[in-house]
Amino acid sequence: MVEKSWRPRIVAFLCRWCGYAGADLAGVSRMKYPEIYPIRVNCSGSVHPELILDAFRKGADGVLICGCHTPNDCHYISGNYKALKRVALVKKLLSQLGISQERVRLEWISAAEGRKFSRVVKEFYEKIRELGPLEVRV
Amino acid sequence: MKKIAILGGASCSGCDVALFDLPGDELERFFSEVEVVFWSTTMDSRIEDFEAQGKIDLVMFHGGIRTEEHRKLLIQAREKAEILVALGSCASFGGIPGIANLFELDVILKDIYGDEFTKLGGERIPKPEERLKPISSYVEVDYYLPGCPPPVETISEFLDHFILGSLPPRGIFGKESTVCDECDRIKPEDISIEEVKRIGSKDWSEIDPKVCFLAQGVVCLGAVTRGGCKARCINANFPCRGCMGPAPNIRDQGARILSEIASLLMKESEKNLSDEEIYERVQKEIVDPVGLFYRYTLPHYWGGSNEEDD
Repeated sequence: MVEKSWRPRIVAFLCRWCGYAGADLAGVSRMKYPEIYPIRVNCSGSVHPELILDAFRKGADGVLICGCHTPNDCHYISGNYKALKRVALVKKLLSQLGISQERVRLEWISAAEGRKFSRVVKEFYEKIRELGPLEVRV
Repeated sequence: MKKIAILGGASCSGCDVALFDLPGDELERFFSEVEVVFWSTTMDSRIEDFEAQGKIDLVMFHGGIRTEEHRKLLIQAREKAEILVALGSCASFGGIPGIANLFELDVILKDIYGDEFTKLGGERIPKPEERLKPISSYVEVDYYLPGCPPPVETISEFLDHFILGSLPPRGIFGKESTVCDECDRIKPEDISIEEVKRIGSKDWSEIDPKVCFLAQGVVCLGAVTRGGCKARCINANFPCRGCMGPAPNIRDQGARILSEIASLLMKESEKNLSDEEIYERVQKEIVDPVGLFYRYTLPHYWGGSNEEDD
């Protein structure tokens, strides 16, 4: 059983055009959400699988990636599709390595969706709390 | 005369047998210029002969560390060796036996020995370590000669340098290139993979030996893999599986190729498919990501020796 005081470490890669802007809106609207480590990236398509795996190797308990809505919101045309396909494969890889697929979450969040951002972070935080601290077994 | 010992851990002994791929005159010259004090694969060498040795100029170690015995042997090898070489991919990265790290030790032992193992109390086999690890997890390594087995040209070049005493600075002894650099196939500008073609599938005979594997829907690791092998597999119409380890400046070989393959999948049709369809199809097309992308390097990247590098 996880201690009550344990707080999950969640790394959030937020694309600067949508995800980060959405988080910004949540912030200026004074919406509350649990603590995360936000990292602004140019595009969800630039979140390389190496970064996701490195986050887990170096102590993250969950990785959240927020990008622009499919099909046509991506500032770089198809970066969000790259993110989607990479996350699909990374999840399969993680489950082979004995790491729950649910520790990675990809969400499309537009600059207008502060409320959705706050809800997603809350949900994800609770999910990771449920899963407990990550132990890499391999 | 310089002394050489060749020994190994969890290995198929393909690496040291690869020495016999050397042309006859080179092999002869090699044996006339060095004294081989221990080489259990080819000579009547006993472990006591090795233990009796003092300093040895060059020790080539092939295979990863699976058992306590391997570990003790390796530590002894390091103590005796002026130069310690990780010969082949298993010693360098863990290799194919390293995929066993996906399973717990008792599961593996039960699978191989059945109930025998518990009956014997494990007395008749050396005590296994929890995880297979590359040799760099236990000792400092002077040179790495990756490859499964290492290309004979690389071995020959290395031994030449050793005999002449002109070895380069320590580290990976190999080419600063990728397999793609050495591959002659035609590479189209734009590639999209709608369906992954697996080796030996029904339509395998349709593969064009002059066109890039990726363009034909076959997963090939050439782009992220160190060159030096002269694309020997690809020339035999077999895609690269990454045995030479990561190419220069690539930190995580498996993650890098995973990223590349994911980007190419459904590239043309993605905008017409729903997110769920893409997600499902990508997961369906790549059956075994670990076995495909970390075939030779799993212990190196996960629970291996690279934790301290940043």
